[in-house]
Amino acid sequence: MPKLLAISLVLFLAVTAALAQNRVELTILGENQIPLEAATIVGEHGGFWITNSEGQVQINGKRGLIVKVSHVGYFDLTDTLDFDQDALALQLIRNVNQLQEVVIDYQQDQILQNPTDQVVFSLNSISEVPLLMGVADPIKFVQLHTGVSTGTEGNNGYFVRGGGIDQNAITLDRMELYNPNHLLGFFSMFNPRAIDRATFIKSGYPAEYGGRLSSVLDIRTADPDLVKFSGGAGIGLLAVDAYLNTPIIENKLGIQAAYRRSYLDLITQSFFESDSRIRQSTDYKFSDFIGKIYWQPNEKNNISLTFFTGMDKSHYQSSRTFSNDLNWKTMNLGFSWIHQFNSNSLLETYSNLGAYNQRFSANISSYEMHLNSSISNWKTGLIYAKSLPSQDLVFGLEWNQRWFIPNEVDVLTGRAEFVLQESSTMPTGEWAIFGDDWIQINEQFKIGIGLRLSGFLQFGPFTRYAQDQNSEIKDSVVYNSAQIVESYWGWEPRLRLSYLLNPENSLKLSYDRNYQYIHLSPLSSVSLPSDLWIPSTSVVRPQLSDQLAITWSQITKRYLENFSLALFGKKMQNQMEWKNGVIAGYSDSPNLDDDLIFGRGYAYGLELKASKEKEKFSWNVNYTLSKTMRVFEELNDGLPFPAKYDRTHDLNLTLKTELGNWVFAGMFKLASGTTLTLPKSKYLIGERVVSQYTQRNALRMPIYHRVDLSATLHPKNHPRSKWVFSIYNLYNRDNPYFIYFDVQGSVTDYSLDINLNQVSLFPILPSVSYEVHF
Amino acid sequence: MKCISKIAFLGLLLTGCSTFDESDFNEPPKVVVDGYIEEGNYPIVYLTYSSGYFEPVDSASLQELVLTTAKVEISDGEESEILTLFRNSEVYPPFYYRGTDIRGEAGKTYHIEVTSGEGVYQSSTTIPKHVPLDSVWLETDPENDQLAKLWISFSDDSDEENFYRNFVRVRNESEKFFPAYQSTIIDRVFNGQQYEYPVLQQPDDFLELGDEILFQRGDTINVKFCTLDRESFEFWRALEQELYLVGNPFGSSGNDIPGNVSGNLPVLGIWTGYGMDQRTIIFK
Repeated sequence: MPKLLAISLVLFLAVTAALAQNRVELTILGENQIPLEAATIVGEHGGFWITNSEGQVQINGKRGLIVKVSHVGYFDLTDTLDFDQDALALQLIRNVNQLQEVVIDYQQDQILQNPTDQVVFSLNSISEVPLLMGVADPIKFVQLHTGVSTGTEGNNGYFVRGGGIDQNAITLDRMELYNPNHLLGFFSMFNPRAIDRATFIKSGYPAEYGGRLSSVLDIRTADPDLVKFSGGAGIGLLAVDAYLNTPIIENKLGIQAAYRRSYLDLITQSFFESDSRIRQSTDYKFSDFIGKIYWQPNEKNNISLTFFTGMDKSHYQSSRTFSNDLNWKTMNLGFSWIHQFNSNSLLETYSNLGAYNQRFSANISSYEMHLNSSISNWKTGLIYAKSLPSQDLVFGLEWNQRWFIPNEVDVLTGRAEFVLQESSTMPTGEWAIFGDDWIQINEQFKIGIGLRLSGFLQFGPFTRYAQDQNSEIKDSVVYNSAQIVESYWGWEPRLRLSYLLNPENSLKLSYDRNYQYIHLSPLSSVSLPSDLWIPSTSVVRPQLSDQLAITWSQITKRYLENFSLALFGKKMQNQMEWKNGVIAGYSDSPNLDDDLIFGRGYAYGLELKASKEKEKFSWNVNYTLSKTMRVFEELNDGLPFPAKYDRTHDLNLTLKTELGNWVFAGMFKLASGTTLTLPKSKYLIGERVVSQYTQRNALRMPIYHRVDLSATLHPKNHPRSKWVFSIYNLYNRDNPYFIYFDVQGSVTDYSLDINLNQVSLFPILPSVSYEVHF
Repeated sequence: MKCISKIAFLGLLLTGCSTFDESDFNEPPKVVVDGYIEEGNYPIVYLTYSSGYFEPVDSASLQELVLTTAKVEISDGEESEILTLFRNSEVYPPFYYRGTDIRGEAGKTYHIEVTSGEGVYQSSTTIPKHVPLDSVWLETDPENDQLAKLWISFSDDSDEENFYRNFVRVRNESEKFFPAYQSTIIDRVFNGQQYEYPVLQQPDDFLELGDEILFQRGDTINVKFCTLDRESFEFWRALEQELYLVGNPFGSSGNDIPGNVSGNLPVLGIWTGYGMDQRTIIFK
């Protein structure tokens, strides 16, 4: 590590001295040549500027710097700065109606963020990709990328380059979210009306990102318009939504609010008899809300407060003797203050609070079981960013305090209540200090060096029980409040290299090391209450990954056509599984982590991307060939076995074309089935059929494929409204959701019959939605 | 570019298809031991063979699935006995081995040895002392007075870790005892206390419970309340979880059940000793 530090220091000094400076005064103009205040300009390697009240900003950089200019109410503009004049004006086009929408394609942004694996996309760019039930969902969009595979159909959980669901950080305005999904994970809680952009990173992480092994999805809410009042409403098959955006003090203070709610329950719960089957099986509701207050007291400061909440609540009753309830809720409040010292340095201070709770209840006759799990957290940090000519520096630190109640189980037998799992809160703290430098060595060569030092503390009160071989409790160690139970820390070096072979071809290389201190116990490939978040303890050690990725990209005809090929290899340590036969919450073990086993994982693969963009027609192909393996001493006789969500092939193809007022889009997905373990033989115990299984994950589900289509109409006479017609699963393919054996008859009648059954979730699903903006 | 996507597409078609091959679900049969010895009763042992998952269980396959030619020997350390083969067409398999001399006694350890062809399989189990039921009562369902729930109450011993399993028989319906729904209990949460527990009948479908788990007016109910050792408890608990998890996509299915029988050839199964208390109650 000292070596790496020394090298980076030498490079840093050499580069700083060697590079000449270019400067341009940029003026951003809006409609009628009015200068636009608070337009944001993002440089290709992370530089960030905001225009002053005259719409002006000074930019230093290298000749050929690519920038993206954004302002609320206008289309984003991408341009190249040549620095051959002292002043330059750029004109933005007003986003008056969706008809002339110039979709900011994510590939362009990708080039901007060159050379890491960052993908920045605006919600506009995905609104015309056909999506489940017509809901524009940033997570669904991420699932179309190379290196990203999905678990089960429709589920929002995703697996990036061999990592687990918990290895993806999802943040909204820097607030940490644990399960931001509705409807058991079929789509996310992010109402697209309130979202401005999202950044997805799977390798080549700048040092400010950390805490998870496999990916980052950094979602940012839109800033409220400080000049004009606007709003809108929409209705789809699943939910209704509305949003409002209004200045309170012109050019100083504005607020924004977006609310969404399902409405099926309102109909079924009011119009059907209380004992009707429809009413009993559709008692499900969800809602989400994003609110933001944005205050810009002067040109150098902007302060924002974001409030986010999302909840799901379901009740299912199949008979008088059996019912279950499933609820989860997240609530977050985040504060951010960005202070601009001058046009090329700023300080961001943020602090946020979060509370996530999930509760599962089952009622069998008068036997009731409740399973609760919750996490509260307080996160705060500082980020200082400085753009020097040919360099972008970022320094910062972060503290994230969490309080876990991983698994509280209580049982009510009608007469007495028993607490099966202790409910004591586990306080923990996670910290990080980081520095990152993104350096342009010469015309062709760029290097990014980042270093992150992170650590974790588990605090008391906590009791650790020691067991003998027969699992009988022999001893216990009690830690008092605020006493440190366990601590970990580690260095996370990051390196990104980019070499421009010629104006059309470039080679990129990245190495990342990441630590992860919190874990999701993965009982199945579906995110459910049986999956519990747990902190690192003396038994559960932090997860660690090392990833190497190399990419060759080709961009031709001024970004209209591009192609890239990436190879990656990733090693993961301290991966976690449940012991065989465990059902979370039913365990008899005294310590939370007694039923877990640990091993390692590795993944490698090849990713191909190709796309072409023409005025009226564009297409995009993403293909991944990969292998994801796990090695656990206690499983599969210690031999490597494929991970549950290992998909050898994964292909996503999207097409889009415009015809008059219509935009048509299509999506085709083809992927290998996920792996599974099935019984290979059976035997009888007490007249019950018991299964013996194959090697772990030795079999594969049938191949997955599907076509979705959508057609968007922007009516000529109502340019501010939009109709979206979509068809999910066009040819009604029965894609497997899960496979099980159905045992019919009984051995006592000498008529036992076993069949393989497949459950498919979504048949052909047409949907329509309408939205209007004002 | 087009070329690359075509190649990728073809590659997928060639290698991506996967169907299940029946041969994935076959393997050589293993001997399966399902035996128990209850306090006060003769030992009973069922011997069968495991079979391919898709192979049917019907009269035609009976001969291949039931082992009727084995020598089954039980000993308690002092005496030993070779069990006799009996026939009972009410249960499956219709053949079982039973003793006629040794009866189960609390505190004793019983060894079993099964010899069949070249295979020799052994196990042993201890009968823990039984825990008497303090009371057994019925609670009529508040919504339907033709249905009732059965409750038991017992006093747990605080000095040791206790494992329980209960069985029920509805005399007017069957001669057989069936394990209750969620029949295994461990005293971790009620160690040393008096504990009340509802005894429910096995449901038809583990994922969807209906009224069949309750008792009906007119039923004569026998309840067997048993104690067992840790090894046996682990087996029965794992088995019940597995029965619950098969077909349940949300559980960690794919688990082998930890039996306590070993041998010179692969073998599966369990040999359990039960301490036992029994009561009868009539739902009038």
